[in-house]
Amino acid sequence: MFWRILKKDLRRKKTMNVILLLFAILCSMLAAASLNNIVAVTGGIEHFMTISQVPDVKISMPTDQTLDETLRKLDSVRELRTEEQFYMTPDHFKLKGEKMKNLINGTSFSSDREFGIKYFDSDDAEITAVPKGSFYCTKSFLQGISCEKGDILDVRFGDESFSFRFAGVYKTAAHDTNYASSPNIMLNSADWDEMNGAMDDAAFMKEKTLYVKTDDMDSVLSMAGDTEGISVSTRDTMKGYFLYDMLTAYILLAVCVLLVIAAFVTLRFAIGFTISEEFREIGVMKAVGIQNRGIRSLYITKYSAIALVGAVIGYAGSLPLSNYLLESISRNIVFTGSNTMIGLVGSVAVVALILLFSYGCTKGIKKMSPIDAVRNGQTGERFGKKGVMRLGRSRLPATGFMALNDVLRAPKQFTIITVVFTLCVLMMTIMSNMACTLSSDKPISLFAIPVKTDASILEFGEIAGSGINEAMQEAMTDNDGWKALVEQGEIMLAENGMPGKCTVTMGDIYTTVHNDKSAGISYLVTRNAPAEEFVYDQGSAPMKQDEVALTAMALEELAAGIGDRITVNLGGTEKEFIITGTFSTFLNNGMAARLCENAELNLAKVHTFMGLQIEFDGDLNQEEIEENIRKLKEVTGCDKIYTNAKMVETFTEMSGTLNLIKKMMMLMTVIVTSLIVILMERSFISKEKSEIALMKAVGVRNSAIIGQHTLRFAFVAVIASIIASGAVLPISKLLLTFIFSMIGSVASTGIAFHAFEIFAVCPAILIRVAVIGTFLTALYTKTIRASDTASIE
Amino acid sequence: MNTVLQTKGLCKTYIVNKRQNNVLKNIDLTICEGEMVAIMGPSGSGKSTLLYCVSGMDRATAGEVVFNGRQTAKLSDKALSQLRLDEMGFIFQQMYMMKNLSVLDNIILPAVKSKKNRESRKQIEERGRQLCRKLGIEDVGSNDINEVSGGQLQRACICRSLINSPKMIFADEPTGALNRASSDEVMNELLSLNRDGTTILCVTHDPKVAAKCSRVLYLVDGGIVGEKNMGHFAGGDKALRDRERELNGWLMEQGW
Repeated sequence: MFWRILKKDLRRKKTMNVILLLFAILCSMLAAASLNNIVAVTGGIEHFMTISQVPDVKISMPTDQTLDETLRKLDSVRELRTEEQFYMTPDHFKLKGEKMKNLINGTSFSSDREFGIKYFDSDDAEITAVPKGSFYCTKSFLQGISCEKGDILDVRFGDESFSFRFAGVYKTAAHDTNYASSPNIMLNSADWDEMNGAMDDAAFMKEKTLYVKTDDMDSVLSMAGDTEGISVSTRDTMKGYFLYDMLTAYILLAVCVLLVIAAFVTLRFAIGFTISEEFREIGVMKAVGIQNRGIRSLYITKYSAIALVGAVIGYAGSLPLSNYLLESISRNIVFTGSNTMIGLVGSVAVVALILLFSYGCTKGIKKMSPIDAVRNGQTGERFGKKGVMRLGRSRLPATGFMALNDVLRAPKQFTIITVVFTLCVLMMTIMSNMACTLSSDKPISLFAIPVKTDASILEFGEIAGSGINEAMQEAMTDNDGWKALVEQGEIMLAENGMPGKCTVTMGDIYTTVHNDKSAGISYLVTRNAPAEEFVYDQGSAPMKQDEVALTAMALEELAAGIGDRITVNLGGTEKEFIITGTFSTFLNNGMAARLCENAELNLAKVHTFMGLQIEFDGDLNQEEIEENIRKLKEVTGCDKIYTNAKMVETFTEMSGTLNLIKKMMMLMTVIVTSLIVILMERSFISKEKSEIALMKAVGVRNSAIIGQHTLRFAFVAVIASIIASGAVLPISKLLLTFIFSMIGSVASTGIAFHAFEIFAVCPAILIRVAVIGTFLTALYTKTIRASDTASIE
Repeated sequence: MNTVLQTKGLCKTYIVNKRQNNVLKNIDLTICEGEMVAIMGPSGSGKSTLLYCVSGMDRATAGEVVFNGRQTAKLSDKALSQLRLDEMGFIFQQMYMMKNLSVLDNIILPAVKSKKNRESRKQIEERGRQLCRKLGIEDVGSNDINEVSGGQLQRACICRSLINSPKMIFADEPTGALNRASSDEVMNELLSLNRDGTTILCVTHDPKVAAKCSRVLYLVDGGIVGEKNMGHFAGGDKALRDRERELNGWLMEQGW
């Protein structure tokens, strides 16, 4: 009998059950995919580093330095591998016969003689050798140019000319492959030797990279700190190369969480609604003597079956979705595949939650007497509030009045729908704000660039009268070296009719000690711009030579506070600083400090160099700035001159991905909203069947009834849009700050938004979907006849 | 007297599990203005189906229904709705009302929807109040429907059926869910309306209710097997008892 009742229920309420199943599928799919995504990304980076055999420390230094020999003598050094490179500026290359105009940095050339770590091709196969006459390169070398295997790269310097065939992009765990970083080309050792031998040692920068596996990292770091002209990266800092991949994953997770919440709220509502519809049957069952446990288990079994089938299908659907979500990051790292077990946990959690909901919703069965249940859950006592609207006194048309009155008379139900709709709008608008912010100038200060900057020049050759590296070296040889670069920059601006101020930001990592705590902190200095031009979360800007502002993360690591003194090892010299405030930044994973404008640095091993920043005189608008940048490109002959917004976009490389996710979310929202609307409207129709029949009996037309039902959802959609519009900016700020704090030390961030998109387009999508969805579902009321009035229970 | 409602060869057939179920078979019926007709018969004889078919709430399978000179079969759904709204009133056994509206709002809803009288909302509300006063429920007009008794609610339903001054009222067991006292009150109201000129067609199981009608039709298995003209009831307990006795005798002859 039990199974017969269940079978009949599943068949009789087919539409409702199918929609519940769809929601269970959606919840399971999103929960599994987003969990899988976040675990795959965070765990995947660690896994990639492990299979690549990334060492504890990576040291880059000039070829004439002998640190490698010293390190080899250390007992704690288990393994030391060396790679040699030489650097070339992009003007020496032609790819497929074209100059590489978009390439920003000098490119390093390495060989397959000895690999410091394991490298992998785009198919995740380990590269053991490079065929002669061919080359592999990092993603950053191509700068988005589509390149087929076999395409030719011409390298020309002096009278020498070399040609190599493109063998593919390679993945590396020990190099930054973002577009803003230095690209690398990997050659066959014979080709590399031939090129190296042909070049004039003085004209090209040559260096070697040491990959050190050690049991005593501190002594290696200390030794490296005492050596001139080197840069050091630890395993932790190398993880920072995948910063933006993680950022995308966290944003996706946040949006998926919102979607899952919306789906769960709807599920909870739908289960409660369907059970309340069945009170009469429950009453009959109770009246004939079926025990509460039996009745509850009937419904719990039904929802378990729906949840289980939904979870299985949803889990299966999550696999391709996970792969899609991981597609962008799998271009950068080697996955062993997504962790299917974690996804399964998500799907199981969905089943558990649905069971919990159905258990909670059936709780009322126990409390009701059979006759209460037969009376549709009413106990006979009625304390309902009176309606505030009166048809006779209202100026609204009858259909509009009925719709609005329905909404006000069932506040709980429509509040839930409003909450769900609000979440739906927020999913779209928050995603839009994230994509917009990451292609705007709002987070520029997190990259240690002054907010007043109008343009950044990332290549200096033409300004300083030498090649890029020479210009950098010149600017960093001593504490006043930057002045020449800034001065020449300002002269060039004035001569070309666009006077302005130039600033330079640079930094280096120093070991910092406070009491018994120590940490490697990146010290940033912006020359020619007072430190108070930056934003400080607490305290004040460092104004004197012995003052410093630290990130909250650095303070926590050192167990220090504002007003405390820290000791910094500046390349062998110890210096004391007093902490004046805290600030936010992405740099060095948030382990950073800001010094005053004229602070002294050990410039031999500059770790961070953000190019030349320009602040044009006068209050220029965007068009004028763009025009000046166009002129600057003509004057300098280089394309790498960006506005702050373009800088953020270039550094994060996320705008494209986020825009893609935003479109996906919009589609997802349309699907979720449609499902919610169909589910809710079908629930309302079946609950209000007698009223609909009555209205028809007294002569109310189909169109008026459909209009009333459609308007109810339209009202709710409009209210949800208004609430979402009010909440979107603070929530976006909160969420972005939280996500940014995952990858740096960020206490707050500014956000950018497209007002038209978030206040007009996204609400319009929701309202339109709600109206169309309700209208189409409400057409079902046509099947209810006036004569059904008497046959309805 | 003018004919308000006429049917010729009215048939209604349902298909249940691929089997044809003829609920109404060739019903010819004429109801004139000012009449108060009761339809009686055993359960399943097709009383309510007949009521719904002649009132345009359901479409007949075959035959003709002419209401106030118009063939309802030829009317579109929209025109049928308009006809029900402006020219017909309905009273059901259960006091169906819109639960989100107050008693008065339920009463005036058809008038607000109708374009017949082109009145302002204020005028409509005033008319609604007058009807409430007439039926003795003026005190509960602003109450929600769950705050009034069954008798009051049924009287509110009568008010709603009258708000557009219909040509005819269709009542499907209007006292079926009421106690005797409430039932008498409701029937007295209907009688009073009939005396004022409203035509009423009423389905009932109760001989006491039918005894107040001017004519009684007896339906068995979808066909009218008997018809009794009772003449208008002028009032009075003795007269009513005599009518009841007479009707019961006739009903016994019909197999009641």
